[in-house]
Amino acid sequence: MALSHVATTSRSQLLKPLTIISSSLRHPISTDTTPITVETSVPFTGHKCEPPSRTVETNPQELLTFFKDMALMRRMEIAADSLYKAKLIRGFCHLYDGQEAVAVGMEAALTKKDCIITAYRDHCIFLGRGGTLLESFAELMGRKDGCSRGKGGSMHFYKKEGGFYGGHGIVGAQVPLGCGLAFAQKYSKDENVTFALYGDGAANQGQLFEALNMAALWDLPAILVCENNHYGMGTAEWRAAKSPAYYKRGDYVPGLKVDGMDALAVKQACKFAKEHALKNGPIVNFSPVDTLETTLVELLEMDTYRYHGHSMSDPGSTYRTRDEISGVRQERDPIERIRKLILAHDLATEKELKDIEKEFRKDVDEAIAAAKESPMPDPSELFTNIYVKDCGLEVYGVDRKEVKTMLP
Amino acid sequence: MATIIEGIGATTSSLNSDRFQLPSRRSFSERKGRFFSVRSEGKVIGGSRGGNVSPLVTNAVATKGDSSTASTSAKPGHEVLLFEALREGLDEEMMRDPTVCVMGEDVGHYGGSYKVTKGLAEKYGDLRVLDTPIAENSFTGMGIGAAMTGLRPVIEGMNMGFLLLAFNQISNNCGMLHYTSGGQFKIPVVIRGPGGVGRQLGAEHSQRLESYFQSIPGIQMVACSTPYNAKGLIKAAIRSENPVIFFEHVLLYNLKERIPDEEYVLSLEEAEMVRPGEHVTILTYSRMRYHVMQAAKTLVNKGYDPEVIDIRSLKPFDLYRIGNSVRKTHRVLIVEECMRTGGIGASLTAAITENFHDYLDAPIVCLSSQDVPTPYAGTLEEWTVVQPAQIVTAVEQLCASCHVDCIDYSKDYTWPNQNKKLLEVSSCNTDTVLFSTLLPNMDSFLSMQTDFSHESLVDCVFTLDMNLSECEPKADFKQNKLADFGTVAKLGTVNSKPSFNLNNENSSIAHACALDMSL
Repeated sequence: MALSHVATTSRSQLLKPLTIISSSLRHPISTDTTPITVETSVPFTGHKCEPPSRTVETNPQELLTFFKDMALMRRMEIAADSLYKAKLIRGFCHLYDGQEAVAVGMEAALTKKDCIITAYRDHCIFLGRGGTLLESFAELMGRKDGCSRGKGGSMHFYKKEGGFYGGHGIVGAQVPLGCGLAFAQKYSKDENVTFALYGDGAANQGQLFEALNMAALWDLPAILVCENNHYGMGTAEWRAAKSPAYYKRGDYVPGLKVDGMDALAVKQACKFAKEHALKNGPIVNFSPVDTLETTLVELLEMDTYRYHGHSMSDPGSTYRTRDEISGVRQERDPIERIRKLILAHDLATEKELKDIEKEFRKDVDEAIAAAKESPMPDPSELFTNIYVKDCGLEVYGVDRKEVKTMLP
Repeated sequence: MATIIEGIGATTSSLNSDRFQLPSRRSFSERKGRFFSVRSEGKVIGGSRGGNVSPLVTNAVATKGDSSTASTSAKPGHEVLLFEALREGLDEEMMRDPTVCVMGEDVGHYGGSYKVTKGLAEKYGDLRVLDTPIAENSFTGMGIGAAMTGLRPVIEGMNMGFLLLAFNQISNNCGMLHYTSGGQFKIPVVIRGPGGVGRQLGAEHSQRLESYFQSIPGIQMVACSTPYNAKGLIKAAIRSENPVIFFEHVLLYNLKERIPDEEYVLSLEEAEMVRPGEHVTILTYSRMRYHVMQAAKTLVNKGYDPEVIDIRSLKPFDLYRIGNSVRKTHRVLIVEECMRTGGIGASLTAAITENFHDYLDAPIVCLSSQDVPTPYAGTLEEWTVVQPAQIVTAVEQLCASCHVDCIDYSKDYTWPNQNKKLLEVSSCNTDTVLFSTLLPNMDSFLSMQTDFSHESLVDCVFTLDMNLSECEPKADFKQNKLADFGTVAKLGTVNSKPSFNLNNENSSIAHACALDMSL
């Protein structure tokens, strides 16, 4: 799960003997897979299902990977913040800092063959799925080297090879798409699952329940994940939803409430959900389930928090107090939790972790510099990718005087 | 140049010199053609240059390589109804490609509300022919999500109007995902369903969604009209890598036609020439094709020769075929079932005007449905939709505003110094008379309007004095025969441009007569 382009540099750094004190006890952390047992912060709450246990198995490699991934994501989002303020990123920019544990924990439980689809707060999930910093920043700045060639923007990050299906601007519209991905997985009988992410604001969309009904009806390997950061843009959840217990909203669908700031809890829950969704294996003869009791679909609610406002144009403090934000940051910050775990288990020193963060700062700055170098898309790109071959459409320039291009 | 008309046997004329109209230059060579002219008494005079008049094609349904006189027993192919043709197309594609699947309401066990998918669920199973709950937004979204990973779903809306609920998915995800992902994801879906005005189905079930969808970038739209093109187009749509919205019509499902046994796929972007002609291009699609063909029968009897094109591809328009037709006939009539405002006809009018303005002799006439919700009452519903009688009137109006190409100048006159010109009014029935004549250099003609009362003008002969000294005649001018066209048209009463009528007679005297309505 390590982000490929930073892996080599940090591994080589950490293989050096780091401190003299108790060095004999320290293994090279990056490849250490001795299991460590950790308890999640809070127990899981289940709805119509037996929740998984609080005890999570992990290992130093994984913990360090979590730390590194989350630190990189955090750095990227902070950098995007300053880029937006410098007017290099325009339009909408929805930042994910504070919620990194969801992205990272989910990645730990899945493979690249599984699909993830989410809404517009997609930068970090894109990174988790194998996206590079350069692609992210270039796309944010609308450059040619972006993951969507500069034509998508912040809300349209996609990575087909990594199984990341975006990146969608309309609230809730990605959930039926996610069910479609699950449908295709069931159709092709490959044992993969789809995680369709949405927020607490989208949880009130009708199409979500329509999609949930269809997914449960046909036993699609879909897991719907509500990233509940308690605010739908500026409206708190209790002001928008009669029942803010989103994991229960599936009614006949089993639900699980997870502490979304604890990466290990997220990982445990996602693993549990994936196993649940694949329990019966691919069905050879498709027949809709006719009992109410068994359904393979799972609804996860991640109790998480975002430090920034809804987007860059939202200060984030008009509908919540700064005390609340700093309180969460002190008590529940996902990176801090992993850092404490690493230090508690003596897997690295304070200084090493700080070095890693400094390294990432540098990487992010380099990526931004490279992205700034990247050119704007060519004007002919305006007309590419509208259709896939097939049409002999002519497109005129705005003045209608000359044929600008022939649509392929 | 100064022109004076002396009316023989008429009351004093008043020339209104403000009404000179000099139409644009046209070259004579483009106007060759063969058509019929009908005198006011109704006699048909063949005006073919080549000789014999060939039979008109009056088939409402164009079949591939079929002629109306072939005997039925020896014909190849098999007869199907339109919904069966669609089913055949779907079946063949599902057999050929395992990623093709169908989803929609009642498509599986029920067999489809219009029987298009009947029998497919038994053959391919419940997963490939999926009965969805009534959730258009989400199952359309589901189909699009499935398409992102490589399936080719055919999404059925039980009625096109229900797809308004899925507009977000169709517009944002279906149309735009290929673009916003920078080309990473293809969405090879087909979204199909019946639309259009049926028999008293009410306002909400008689919607024409092609006008709403037409500006979504990234999608293609086709409308089928016969069993032959239904099967060919659905196969092409399924094989296309782009999202295609496939418009069927509720009233056309029971059309019967003989289609070939062998497999065939039609092109999604091509228009179909239903009936070649010379006088006017009638562009239409879906059900209105049949109203047009019905009107065509009447028009042929009246002596017109309409060219009927079923545009089929609503997005993009087949401007190649349409343009060539406009170049041939110079007059366009669009007959559609969409509303007038923002409909397919409106876009087509704009496209033709922008691209082929020089070829047009008259403004494009667009006959569309009224901009009203479709009422339930049968008579009212009939009036919302374009009827054949209206098409006939429109063609007559359009053709009446035609201009003479050339005039046969009798051997009695010598050019270029002749400054007397004989004009004859052969009939008129309106308040004002327009005299037109082609100027000798053939590049323009002059028309004027007078205020004679019409009774006095019938069978009158007028001379037109023109100072032609500054005109240079063309070398082959004297050999030019009368153009073989001209029909007596009964003009409508409103908003028609001043026009004249040329009657082709054995006499070599040019007749120019104008009938016009009160402007």
